Amino acid sequence: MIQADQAIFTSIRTHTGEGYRIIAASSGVTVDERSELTRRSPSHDSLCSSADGAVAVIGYALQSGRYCVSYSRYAGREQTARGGQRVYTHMAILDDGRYRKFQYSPVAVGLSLAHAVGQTLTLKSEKLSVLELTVGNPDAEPKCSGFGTACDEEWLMRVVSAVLGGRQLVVAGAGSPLEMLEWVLRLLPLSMRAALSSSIAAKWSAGRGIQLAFVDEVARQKRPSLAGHGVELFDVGSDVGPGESDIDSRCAGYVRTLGRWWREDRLSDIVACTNKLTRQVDIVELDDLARGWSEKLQQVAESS
Amino acid sequence: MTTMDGPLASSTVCLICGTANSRDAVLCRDCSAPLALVREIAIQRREPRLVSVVGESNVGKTVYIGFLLDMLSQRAGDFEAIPKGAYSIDIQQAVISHMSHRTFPPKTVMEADQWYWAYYQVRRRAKGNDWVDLVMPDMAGEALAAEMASPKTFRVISNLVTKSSGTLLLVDAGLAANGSSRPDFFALKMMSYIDSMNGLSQDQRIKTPVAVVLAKADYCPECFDDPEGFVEANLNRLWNMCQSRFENVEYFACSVVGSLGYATSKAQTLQPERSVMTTDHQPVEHEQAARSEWERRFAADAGGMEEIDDISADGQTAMPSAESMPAEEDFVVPIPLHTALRGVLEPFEWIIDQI
Repeated sequence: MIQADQAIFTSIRTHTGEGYRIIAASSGVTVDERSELTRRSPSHDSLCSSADGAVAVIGYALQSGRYCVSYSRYAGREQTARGGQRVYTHMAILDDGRYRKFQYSPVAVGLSLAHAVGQTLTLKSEKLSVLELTVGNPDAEPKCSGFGTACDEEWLMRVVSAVLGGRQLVVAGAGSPLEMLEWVLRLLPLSMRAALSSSIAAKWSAGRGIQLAFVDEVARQKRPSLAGHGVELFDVGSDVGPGESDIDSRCAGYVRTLGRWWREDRLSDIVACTNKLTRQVDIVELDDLARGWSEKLQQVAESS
Repeated sequence: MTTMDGPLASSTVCLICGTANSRDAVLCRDCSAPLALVREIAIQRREPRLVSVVGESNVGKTVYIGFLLDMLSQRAGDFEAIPKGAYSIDIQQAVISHMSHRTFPPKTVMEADQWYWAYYQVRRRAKGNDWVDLVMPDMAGEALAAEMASPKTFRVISNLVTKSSGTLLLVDAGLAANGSSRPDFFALKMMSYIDSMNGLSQDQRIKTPVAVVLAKADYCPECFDDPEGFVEANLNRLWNMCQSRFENVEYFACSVVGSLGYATSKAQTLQPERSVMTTDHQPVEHEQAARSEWERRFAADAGGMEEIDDISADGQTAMPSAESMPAEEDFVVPIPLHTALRGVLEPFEWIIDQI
């Protein structure tokens, strides 16, 4: 069990105020963290889907040095009846050591958080206790059933390359965004995963400061706004696969090697190699690292 | 100077926060203000005047701004107003079209890049006044509340407040007349925030004109007769703050809705996610052929996890701080049956005369 601070961000009417704000938090959440969580949490009409069961997961590093993973869903109609559903966001705030137990995966934390909080949407107190999260089995055999894109391997490599190069991305139209994000993270060295801010099924917003956002679609009129912010759009759901858009030359060898392993279903090799890379690495070191892994695995295969 | 020459010729400097942005940028990368404002104002070669409309969530800022701009577009009150940029018309179109269908416009979201901004050139025709470039953002009430609680949470707000040539503070007159102290406290906090942002000494008073607008005055029509008296009687904390720290304050009452109907809304009890498991940990049978990815993963992970105690978000203390969710029959939706604008233009007229 992993302990984490928690906070709830939603819109309710109380004696002292009305509207979206942090309505409850555990005592370990600092004032500065509350301010940052307020600015970055999804408010009204922020989920991609309007279906009752819609869910969004967002993970990012806080300026305090801790990490926040939020799990958002709908909680009935907005109380002022101006249309739309009330977004209810439950957040887990973890330090580096505890987030690392989840291998810096907001998907893993989000699922654990969803299990921990259950279906609770009412509140009895502003003071919350510390949250207890369950970590999944770290030795479980990694699996992948595909991402629901036009060309999974190519898109995976391009997303990983863009993330390693520090570019901001919106990925639209993936049929399985949870799986795709997990594999993007697994293809990154463990030491680089924590710094990646990501979101699934929440509408892109400049103020949230997310580097990698998975959305259902991006309306045509919103696309210039993305470009103006220096954010690239990968429409992975279209029938047209990725073009010859460049893979960052500084890590092309690394990306192509791991992409090939993914295609060959050598998922355990990917996880075993990237999870061991706990030291800080520069992007230019990655090609050599990948070469070294290949040679080592080749030797192991030959000797056995 | 808004568009820079020389080595940084590719930058557009934001009007609100001063951040340099790329020439192609649509919104400022720091505060999300539209950069089209900068480009258009550069053509006019005049200093723009920012007018901030502030108020608590659900007080009616969006409706007020929408109707005000629509009145100006129709040359109400001897004003001539020209919208600069199609984006400036979005808010009045949204408000008018919703109200014509007897619904209030959607809630303004907290994300600053989703806010409406309006840039109008305005002048009084009869007086032959010069044109004034007005910039009016429609800010979310919750963002204002968050900024007041913790300054610099939304830097766009702090920048707007410090750069504003005039402020319209909307206060819910209906709630105040019913004895609620919430509007008074919010307004007091807002004025205190403006005071602190100005950073003046104790013996100096703020000269920026502030129009205190009693919104939803149709609930208490008596405030049209004497808005200042109403504020003194029902919003006394605000009144005292204005007297002490602000040199140039005027009080107005306004109303947009002519009559309201009330409808009940069905099926408002909290619905658990249809995608999560039932309490006996068996997967729910779905009508749809395919379950969502989240549903599948949630169900699969539940099978792999150890059984955990039901440690939910409920705390141990019994003190309730939130209203319990209303029962189904209590959920009432107000329906604007028709509009009858009253007192919408006067606060704006006064602000324009002051600036």
